[in-house]
Amino acid sequence: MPAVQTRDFGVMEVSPGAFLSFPNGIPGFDRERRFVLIEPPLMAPAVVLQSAETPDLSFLAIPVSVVDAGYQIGITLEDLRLIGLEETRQPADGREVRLLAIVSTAAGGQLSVNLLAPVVIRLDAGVAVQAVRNDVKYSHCHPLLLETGDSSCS
Amino acid sequence: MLVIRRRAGESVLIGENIEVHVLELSASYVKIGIDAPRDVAVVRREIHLTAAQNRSAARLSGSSLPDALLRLQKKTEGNIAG
Repeated sequence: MPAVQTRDFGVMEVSPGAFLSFPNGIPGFDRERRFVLIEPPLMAPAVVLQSAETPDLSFLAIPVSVVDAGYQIGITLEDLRLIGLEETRQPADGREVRLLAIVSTAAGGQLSVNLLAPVVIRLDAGVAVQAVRNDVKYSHCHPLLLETGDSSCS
Repeated sequence: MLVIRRRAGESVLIGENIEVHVLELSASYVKIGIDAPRDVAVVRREIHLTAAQNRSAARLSGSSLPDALLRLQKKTEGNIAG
């Protein structure tokens, strides 16, 4: 099995099927074309998107459905085309694609997820895209935990 | 903010080298075309926001990661069970 140098778990052996190809990279990291999806059981429902090229680059993500069970998928035509999905309809989460929201911390330690741009992974092929929506239905910093303090983010 | 009324087919100049064309109008959207030098990045605002958010997300590591994860699991426990 191929081995990948990870940021948080040392060197890991991963199955060839765990590799994801991002044809355009992701916003802010355009040159990062290959990631590995790591799913340690202890971290569930969170997963890790680890760059296969840059050991220091890794993202924490959680399924969009965990954050918002009624999330309406809205992938642009360009992104559907990019990962080879049918252009005439939106794919089904869980059946054709997997939607992950990248987690980040805003000032004050508040956790937020990017629902404006979910990572869309094709289940039948190791191809993915961070699909930035064309509308303003969802926030790029949707607060995950409504704790004390405000949820302002940049 | 400068506000200018334009019709389809008209355009606006920004500085010497950038031209914003109003191509098409509908009830819910406007189609614009932008001529800009190669070194000027033109992206949808949502992509710019996501790039900044990704850079911030990439810094969520080390000692802050277990803490974030724990809080996240605590928060989503109910959702998973349900």
